[in-house]
Amino acid sequence: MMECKFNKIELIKYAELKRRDSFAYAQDDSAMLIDNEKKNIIEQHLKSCPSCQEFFEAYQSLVVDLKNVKLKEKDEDFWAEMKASVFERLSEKEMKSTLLTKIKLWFASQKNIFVKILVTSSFVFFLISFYLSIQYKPNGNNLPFTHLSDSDIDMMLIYNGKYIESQNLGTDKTEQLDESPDLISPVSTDKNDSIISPEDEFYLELLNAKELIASL
Amino acid sequence: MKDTKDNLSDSFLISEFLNGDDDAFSSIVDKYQRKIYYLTLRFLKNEEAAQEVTQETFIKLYQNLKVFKGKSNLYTYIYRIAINNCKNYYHKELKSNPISIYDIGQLELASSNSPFKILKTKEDITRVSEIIDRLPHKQKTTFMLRVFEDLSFKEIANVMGFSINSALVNYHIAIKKIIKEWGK
Repeated sequence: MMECKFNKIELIKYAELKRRDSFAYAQDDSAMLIDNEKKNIIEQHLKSCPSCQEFFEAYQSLVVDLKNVKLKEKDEDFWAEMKASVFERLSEKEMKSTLLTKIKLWFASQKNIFVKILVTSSFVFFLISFYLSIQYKPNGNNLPFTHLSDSDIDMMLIYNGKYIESQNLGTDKTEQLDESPDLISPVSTDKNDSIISPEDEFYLELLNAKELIASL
Repeated sequence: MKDTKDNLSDSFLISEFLNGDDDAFSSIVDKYQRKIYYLTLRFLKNEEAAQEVTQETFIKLYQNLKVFKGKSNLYTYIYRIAINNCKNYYHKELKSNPISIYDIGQLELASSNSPFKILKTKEDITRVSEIIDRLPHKQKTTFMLRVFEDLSFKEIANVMGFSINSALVNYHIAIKKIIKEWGK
């Protein structure tokens, strides 16, 4: 049998009009509604088209028959057990409910986006502050270079001395090492002649601090 | 599908639940557990799986009800959770061990007034149910929600998250495929 090109959706709508009771049909969406004119066209077409007639009957039968296939009813005990299991599993989940879940729920329940942004940025700020406070304790051992041993500091001073020597004294490293301590703290009074860089100043302060600690 | 009174009572139960009354949630479970169980049983064709998915549906509902915005009806919201759970459960648990035979022991052929009866025997039910199973998820779900749950296309569209026209077209394609397969 040749398949008819007639719009099958219209046929389904018509079949639904026939199948569903008037209350259910009235509750249905406007997409399903067909006016009287369309209804007449479909009825006329169905009379003259065996292919559409077959589709229409098969549809009605399929839907009606399937609806009539009933699953066996469960007794009340089954439903009571089901509900009890739901609450049992819920209490287990509640016990395991993590802080993260609570935070997620709180976030989801917040309608104001600015509150969410404020809380998130405060949290991020707190995290950064916490991290920095651990990394750079004001009176702790985590200041830059404080992890260096005494010999490391000595080596830096030697390097400092060598730098001074190569710039001004023209002596070699051995001679430089033999020089008096004055040489390694050459604070020039002439600003134009200053050879002390901020870095050098820091090393010297470090040395002073070290000596101070040693004297205590 | 639902009358106004039912919808009102759903919103009343939700507001009671949000005020900390767990009995309200218990009433929601009482009200919907049968529908959800049979829906999932039709989808999964396995009693244990249906029980598991039904319970999981209500657990998820409990967890999400606190953030339920009331944009859709409660029952379409529950159906949506149930269908997603069915889909996930099927892919995780059942796909590797598919149940090919409809457990006809659970089914009864009720008397039908249809003048063009197709499903005359339990074997017919098995066959048509296998055809429905082979449909793509959207078509299968749309078909089942319409035929077994009697949802309107607007409600189906809400559950599935697509337009009313998409629901109608999916239903139409599903019907055409089933009838075509049945005729082979």
